[in-house]
Amino acid sequence: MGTWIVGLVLAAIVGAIVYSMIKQRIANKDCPTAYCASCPVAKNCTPAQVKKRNIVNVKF
Amino acid sequence: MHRNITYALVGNPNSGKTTLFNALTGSNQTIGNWPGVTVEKKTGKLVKHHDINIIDLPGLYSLSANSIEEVIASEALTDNPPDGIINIIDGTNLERNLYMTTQLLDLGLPLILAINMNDELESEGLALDPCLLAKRLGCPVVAISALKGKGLDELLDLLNTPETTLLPPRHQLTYGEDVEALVSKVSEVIGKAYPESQVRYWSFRALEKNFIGKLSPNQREQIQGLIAEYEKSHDDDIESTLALARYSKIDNIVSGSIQGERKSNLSITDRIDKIVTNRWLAIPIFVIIMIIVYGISVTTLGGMATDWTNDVLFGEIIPPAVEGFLQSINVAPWLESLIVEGIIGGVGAVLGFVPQMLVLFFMLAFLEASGYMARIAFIMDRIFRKWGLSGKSFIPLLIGSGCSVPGIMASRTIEEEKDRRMTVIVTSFIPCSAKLPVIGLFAGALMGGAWWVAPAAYFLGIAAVVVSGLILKKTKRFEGDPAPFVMELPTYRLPSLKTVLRSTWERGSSFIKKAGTVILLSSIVIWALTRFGIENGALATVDEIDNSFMAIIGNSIGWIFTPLGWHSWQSAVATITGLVAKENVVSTFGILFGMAEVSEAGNEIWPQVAAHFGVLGGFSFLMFNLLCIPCFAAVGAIKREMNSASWTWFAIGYQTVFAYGVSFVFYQVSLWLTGGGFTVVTFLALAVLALAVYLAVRKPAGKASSQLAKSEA
Repeated sequence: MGTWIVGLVLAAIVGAIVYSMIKQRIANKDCPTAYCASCPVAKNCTPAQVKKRNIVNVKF
Repeated sequence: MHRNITYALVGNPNSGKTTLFNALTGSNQTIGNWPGVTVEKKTGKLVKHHDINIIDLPGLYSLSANSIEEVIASEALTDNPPDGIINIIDGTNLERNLYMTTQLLDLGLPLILAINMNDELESEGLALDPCLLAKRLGCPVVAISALKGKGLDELLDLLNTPETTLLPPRHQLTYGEDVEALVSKVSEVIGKAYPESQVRYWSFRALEKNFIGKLSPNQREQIQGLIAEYEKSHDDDIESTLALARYSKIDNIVSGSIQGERKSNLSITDRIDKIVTNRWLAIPIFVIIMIIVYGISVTTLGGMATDWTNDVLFGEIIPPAVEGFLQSINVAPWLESLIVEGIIGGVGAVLGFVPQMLVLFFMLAFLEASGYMARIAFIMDRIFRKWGLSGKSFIPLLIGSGCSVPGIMASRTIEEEKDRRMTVIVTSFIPCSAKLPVIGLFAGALMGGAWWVAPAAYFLGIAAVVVSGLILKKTKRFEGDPAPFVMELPTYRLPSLKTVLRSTWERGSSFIKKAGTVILLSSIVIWALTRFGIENGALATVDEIDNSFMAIIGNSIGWIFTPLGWHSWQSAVATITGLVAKENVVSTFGILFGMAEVSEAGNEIWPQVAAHFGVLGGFSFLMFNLLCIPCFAAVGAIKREMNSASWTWFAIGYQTVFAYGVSFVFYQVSLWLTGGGFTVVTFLALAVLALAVYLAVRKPAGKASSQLAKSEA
């Protein structure tokens, strides 16, 4: 029983990580560069899109 | 009453724009004492007045379209004009900052001038007269200190009373009869191409040969004719004439608006710079500062915290607690092994370095916010330029000595794409802190812990950066001189704790996120490959690690490393596990050589490692692992920064080929020199060395062809 519960929790965590990575990949698909300053379209991104894409739009 | 008003926040780089934006909107945007913190427009709502929007535009010196930031800002102001402009300027650099103010006033939009850093002006013994400036500029002027929150109430009152604030400038700034006559003629030519209120602004832009896309060929020709006629009659080019006219106007505006005399001809920043950027003292001071930073973050404070995390938290507390819990609920041994040895072992090895990294990031953030980092880039530019890299490449390399991931991410401060890509490729050559245990293991096993091995590893990394810079810069992908390094050296400031902590957390959290995703998944895969295999002809959990899938993989690729002097499956497997996290190399040898657990530098297995590799093979293995592809997390960072699969593969391919070439030449030439005999392979190694020297010293492809063209002509 313990094996099933722990196994399912672990599978859920791994699934969530893989899902979020795939989701991120899809969100970034049309993002031509991770560096907004040299991006030909980034100025059209809404703040929500920028956040979703997880691209860091500022220099440090 | 819902007003829905939008103000654009515009100012020079490092004028405190983002600090003011955060103060007005309550946002948490990154702040740095480094020009160019904001490279994209951001929006926020005025605190307590959510019907007033603030757009934070990138910092820029003028509205002429010389860079992508200037294009973004200029388009934001003209294509969809805001209701008003908040122009923040640095009070300690009034004349230069007012240059863009004069351009903004040409737009005819309501403008509030916020003169920042008034406190610094006062500390210099100077007093600003905002009323006089307001009268001369024809717009409201407020003296503020965005960092200390002084004068912000007055600014908020202005923003919140649009009926009196949102009025066009009271008068137009004029620039002398000749310039005004020329502007009038240009205005007549472009008249209908732009809205009436923007005609004067666009006339100036047209005279600067910017943004003339909307004009017909005939209009452009007429403007060029007017410019040529003016330049001929005044014997000066139009851009200089306009700049001179603006600065002359600014002199008149500023004259008498600042009372008092400076306490000293040299500001505090000037006095500090006289020492820290001194031709002879700059580098020694920088070396001392870095020794202190790394001394605190790696060996003392950060070292103690990391030792505790590795040895106590991930050694004595978490694994036994999890193990006990899993056993109490009767979890199968394989799942217990996966969680304790695979996941906690793998992720813990990486998370163990978090305290060290947070201390390092804190200190680097402090240096950055104080303004010293900008000086480092400036100092190093002179040296780096000779290697085909820009001064800005130095900061990623410096940060990369802590961890390649933030080092690679720091490369985004480099605007020139070729320079940035090259920096991303070479950053991981500098040994990161995760490579230190590997260096420690081989220094101990091969040289009895000799002190010089670690500095030699850093020297190898620096040499790899230099040689790569020389080789890559000669190729078509990277050819051309590094972009001119133009950067304003900011005023030294005591950073606020909030700013430093925010920057530390931003960098640290992305590292932790990586550990929780990529490294967690990789740890599971590696655990499975070492746990399962083929025993007695059947797929099963293996008792003998020699039968595991990892051993099968190691055996199948071990031959590749034969020319490098090491080909056992164990060394191949250690190289593979090192891709998850470089410190895995040590723990892998621990497991493969029969020790369940080894200390960080692996003292227990020094004899086995020495016997397994021999001195030459051992150093060859160390070189390959220091220079080859970094860990998966760093590869992920490369992918993110390159944002291109082909460039990522190019980086991986280059690093692997470079590491293989260095180890191959080292092993084969050393073998020959120590009496191993001259063979065909030795000849090949010498040929590779000769090729590398040729690639580094040859003339760039572009230059060679242009010289050929010249000689043919």
